[in-house]
Amino acid sequence: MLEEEKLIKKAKQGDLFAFEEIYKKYGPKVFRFIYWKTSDIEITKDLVQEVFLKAFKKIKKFKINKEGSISSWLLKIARNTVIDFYRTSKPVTSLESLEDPMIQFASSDPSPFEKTSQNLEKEVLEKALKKLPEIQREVLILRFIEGLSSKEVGKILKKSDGAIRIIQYRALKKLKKILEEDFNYY
Amino acid sequence: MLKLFIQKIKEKKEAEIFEEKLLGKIPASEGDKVLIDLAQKLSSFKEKTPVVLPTLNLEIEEKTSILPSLLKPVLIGAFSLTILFFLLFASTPKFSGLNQKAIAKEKEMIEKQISLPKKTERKVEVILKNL
Repeated sequence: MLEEEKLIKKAKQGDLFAFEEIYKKYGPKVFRFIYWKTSDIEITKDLVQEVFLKAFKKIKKFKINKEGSISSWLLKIARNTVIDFYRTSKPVTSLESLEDPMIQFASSDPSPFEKTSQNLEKEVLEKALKKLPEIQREVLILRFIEGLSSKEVGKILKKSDGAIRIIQYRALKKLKKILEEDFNYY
Repeated sequence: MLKLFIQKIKEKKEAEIFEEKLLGKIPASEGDKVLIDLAQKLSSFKEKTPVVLPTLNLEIEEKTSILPSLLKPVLIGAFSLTILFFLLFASTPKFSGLNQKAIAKEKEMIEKQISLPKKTERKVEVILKNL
């Protein structure tokens, strides 16, 4: 935590190396969050770049007491960037990629036969996750994939941690229902 | 209304109890075990999601910031020039309606002063010839 505060302090003073450290540390988190929302690696790359440019511009105004941790602050910027992206641009994802978000990674696999049952399970879960309402999907991604606390998720989504727990509970129940009804999973 | 309120409170309690089950503080029922299993599967996605971080290019920031920084003085300059020209035009007699009237009057006065009666004009001509 102390290390993080030092980094933020240096970045606030315009230290590019400190900002790069922040990027290395939190970039993967931001990448995963955006990727789970866009399902397109190229769009994700562009948006990650945009998020960190915005963060670089705004870091002087960042207050740890107000925003919580830097990771939740960055994820908040990421969320708004994705919202802006979909608001301003026409859908560019192909029907194929909409159908299967992991198609580009699956194609790079050495052989389709090497797909383990775990991978298939992941694909099914991904598809089921896509069927959830946006807010429920966001809560599940932030809470379980990114491992944030309900308080941190609440700060990003501007909701109380109690509300996040309710959304999370509803989302898991709905996900189970989708898996049962649409994929005969359970 | 009351039914909805009671339902919300019930759901809130259930969600809080589930959170404790998720953390392993309370033993989970069979139904909840499925949900916990789902949550754990989602947690394992963190490692499985491919991360391809682009090289951070903060130069774009500098490039993009040039335009607004240049635009501001240019706009201010153009605005002050417009005001200056406007003031100049407004103060020029040609362009101000009020002054045009004054000029017309002044012209009339000068013409009156210059124009001499015809007789005196001829006298002046004779004098000038004799000279």
